Amino acid sequence: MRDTKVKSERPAIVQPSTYEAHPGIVMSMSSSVPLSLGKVFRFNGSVAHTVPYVLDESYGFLAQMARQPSRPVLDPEEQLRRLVQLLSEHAIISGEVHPAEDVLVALLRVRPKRVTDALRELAATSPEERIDVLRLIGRAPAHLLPEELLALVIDGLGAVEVGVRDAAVRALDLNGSGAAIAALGAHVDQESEGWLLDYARGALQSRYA
Amino acid sequence: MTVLVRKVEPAAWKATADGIHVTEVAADFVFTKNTSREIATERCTLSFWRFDPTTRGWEDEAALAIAGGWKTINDGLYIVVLEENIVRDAGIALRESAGETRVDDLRDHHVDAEALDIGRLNVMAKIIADTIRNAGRVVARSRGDLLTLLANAAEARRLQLAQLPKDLQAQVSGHLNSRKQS
Repeated sequence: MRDTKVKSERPAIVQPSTYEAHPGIVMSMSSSVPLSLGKVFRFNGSVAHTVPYVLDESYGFLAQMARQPSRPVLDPEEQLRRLVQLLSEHAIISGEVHPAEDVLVALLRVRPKRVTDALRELAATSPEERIDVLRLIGRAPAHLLPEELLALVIDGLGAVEVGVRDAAVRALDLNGSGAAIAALGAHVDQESEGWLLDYARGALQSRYA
Repeated sequence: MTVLVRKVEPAAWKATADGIHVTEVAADFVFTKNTSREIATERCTLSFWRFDPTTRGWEDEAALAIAGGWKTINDGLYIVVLEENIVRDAGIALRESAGETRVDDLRDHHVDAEALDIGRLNVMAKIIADTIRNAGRVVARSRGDLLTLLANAAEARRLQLAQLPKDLQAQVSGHLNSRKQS
């Protein structure tokens, strides 16, 4: 990111590892600047002279256009299918990034309504799917989250299954918005499972510490 | 008397399925690796952290040891607390080994339950299930708690910020900065 913000200087060498692929990123071939200006394609090599860097003088941005085939831009529906597949194939593990997180963020940017509907549908299929959906939602940036998805998480607090309530509490802790923390606060008086109550209280206390 | 602790998802140990009684452990949620890593072995061992429960703040130290091995703090943490003598008395062999944490002084708090065959793994599972369900010995720490613990450790130079993965480094630095400003 810092490399791409250099203006009127021609960066000669970059650390390719600082650039990461972004699912669904759109590259502008005419300006050689990724339209999202967020991240550019991952380059698997590490030596600058093997890559045909293209410098857009007018913008001063550096984009690296490796000759290797670029990741295709996925259709949103294809991304949705991929998201569901990733959720079913990979456990959501504390301390590890889940591969569906990036896909969800990309979809929330381009198709928030569609992904909201799809996640609600998926969550309705079984408690296990609901747990995965809530935990994944918790990891999305709060500012990208439609109200309906936050409401889906808050609904989880009233579930019979303790696993769903746990997923909801953890998602609200991560979300950290005013509505999320208010819902968490209201839930504390209702929770019957000791370890989950401890978690919820800890989450609230650390917010106000 | 020492305790052995391990990260768990307590809800997985309480989940039921068709034909599984509420007092039994549903295999899908505990043993199946792609839905949970509750008791996934590596080289026939299970990883535990060992602490003296009479030491003040040992639960935080246990949480710090575990979170100190994470790539990012994107969640809170539950830890099950087992009596070491119960594990040993059940015929489980323990061997000291270096723990995977970036908090240097906690690495030697680690032990492996080793030589686990299916029978001994089942014994371990039953001990963990009983501890979660009946003894209720589960410690919970939220995401904010973990960031505070890591920030405290960084301030005390128990871990080096520069050695943390990029995400984790940014999270701990951000927490330290916001603490200074408030």
